[in-house]
Amino acid sequence: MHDDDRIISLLNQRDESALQIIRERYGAMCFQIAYRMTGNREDAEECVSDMLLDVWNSIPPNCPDHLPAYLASLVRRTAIDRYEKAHRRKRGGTQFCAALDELAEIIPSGEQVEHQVEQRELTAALTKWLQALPERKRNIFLLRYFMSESVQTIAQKYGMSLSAVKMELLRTREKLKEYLRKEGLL
Amino acid sequence: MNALDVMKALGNVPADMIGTCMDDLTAADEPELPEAGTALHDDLPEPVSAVRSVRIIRIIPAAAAACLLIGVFAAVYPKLRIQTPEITEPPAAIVTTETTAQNTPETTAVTVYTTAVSQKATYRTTAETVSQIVTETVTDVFTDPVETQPDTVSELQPQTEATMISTAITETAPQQPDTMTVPLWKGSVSNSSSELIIDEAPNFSCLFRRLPFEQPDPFFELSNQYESLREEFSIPQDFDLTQEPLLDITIITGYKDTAITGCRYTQNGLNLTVSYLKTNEISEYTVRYAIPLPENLKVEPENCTVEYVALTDEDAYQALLTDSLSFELDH
Repeated sequence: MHDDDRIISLLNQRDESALQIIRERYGAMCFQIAYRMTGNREDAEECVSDMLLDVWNSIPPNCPDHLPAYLASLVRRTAIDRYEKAHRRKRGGTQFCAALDELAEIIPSGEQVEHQVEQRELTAALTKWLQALPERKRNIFLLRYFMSESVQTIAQKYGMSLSAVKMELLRTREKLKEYLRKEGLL
Repeated sequence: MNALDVMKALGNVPADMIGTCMDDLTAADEPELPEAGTALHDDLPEPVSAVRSVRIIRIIPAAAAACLLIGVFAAVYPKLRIQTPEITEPPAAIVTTETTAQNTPETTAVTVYTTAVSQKATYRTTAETVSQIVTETVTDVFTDPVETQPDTVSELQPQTEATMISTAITETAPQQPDTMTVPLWKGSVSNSSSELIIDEAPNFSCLFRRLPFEQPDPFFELSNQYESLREEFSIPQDFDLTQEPLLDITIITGYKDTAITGCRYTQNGLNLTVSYLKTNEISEYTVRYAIPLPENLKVEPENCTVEYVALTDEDAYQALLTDSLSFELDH
């Protein structure tokens, strides 16, 4: 059996050793993603721990086809949440803000619902747009904006110059902007 | 919607897409897993600030050593300069000679020898040498071997010559140096033909024009014309275009990498060496240069000529590029 299948099987059997295997096998990769997003070791390690908890809670019922991609999505989401919280703290930091956040956890505002719908539409549009991109362009785009890889790493990976990667990303972003405008999302 | 929303939405795109991108990344360099019992981040790069501080610490001893060396050199050099006569062989000229001689016919080889000599002469003028004698001596040496071969080049630097020159220095009265160095201002390189020329011989021509304008363009203010000229060649502001003449050189060439790499003063004119890097891509390019013409330099555009040197080695071509020209004045 493939290692990833074995991990999922262990998770389905509620065997905690699956988390240890994930940590050993994919911990470094997840830490790198979180570290690139948060820029802080402690935060990145906490993101990995949160991700493991999410894995435990979401598999089953989920059964991802590509486990590392699933883990990357989870750790990324955790890191984005952390980023948002940190920014909220910077913005407000008052007891009122904290109280409002606590209430918002149980009472979603109309805006939030609208935002969730918009987010779903955006995800669908992005998926469609990404599928239409040539594979190489798509991978470069995802490495930068999904994996938060540095331009330098991407350039080394594809044997391109820094300016060529930057130019490629700029063109792809311009295309995305045009597409989102056409779809009425911008 | 903001950028963060797009980032969040990217987290929900199908896993197979992310998987392909991740496979692509890990195929090149699989991230090493931390050993059991070690922290996850042991093999990760240090944060930027930490890396910078480490680098700075590493640089400090080298910088201190360099400063010390410069200090010692600054203290010792003036004394050395007074004590020793400045007769040294300039090796760069020889390298140039060899390269050119291999790629060009006999006549060019002769020209190149002269260039080498002129460099030598320039070097010696700092010690108030008699360059006239140097020139004559060298002429004696070089006019004979017209059937020069590349491997005879090294013979053009005989030890006896240096001895002879140093003797001349002691015996002859000081004289004004007769070597001149002028800046070479490069202008634009434009491609006048959008298509590559295949199976055709490239065009070469060179136009010389003396500025300031004898017949200014009637449609533009003269000051604007000067300004555009200054901009074209990046001429320093302290150079007064209204007072000091320029030689405007326009080279039409089949190769993009074409440059003026040498110069020889002839009877009221200049004989320029134009080198080009011969590649398979032939088109029509226009390369512009300007040379300031000091008062004591009599140059008439109609007396100017060009010798072309083809090079196939890019490094050799790069080594020839210069932003100034030195040449002997003909007395």
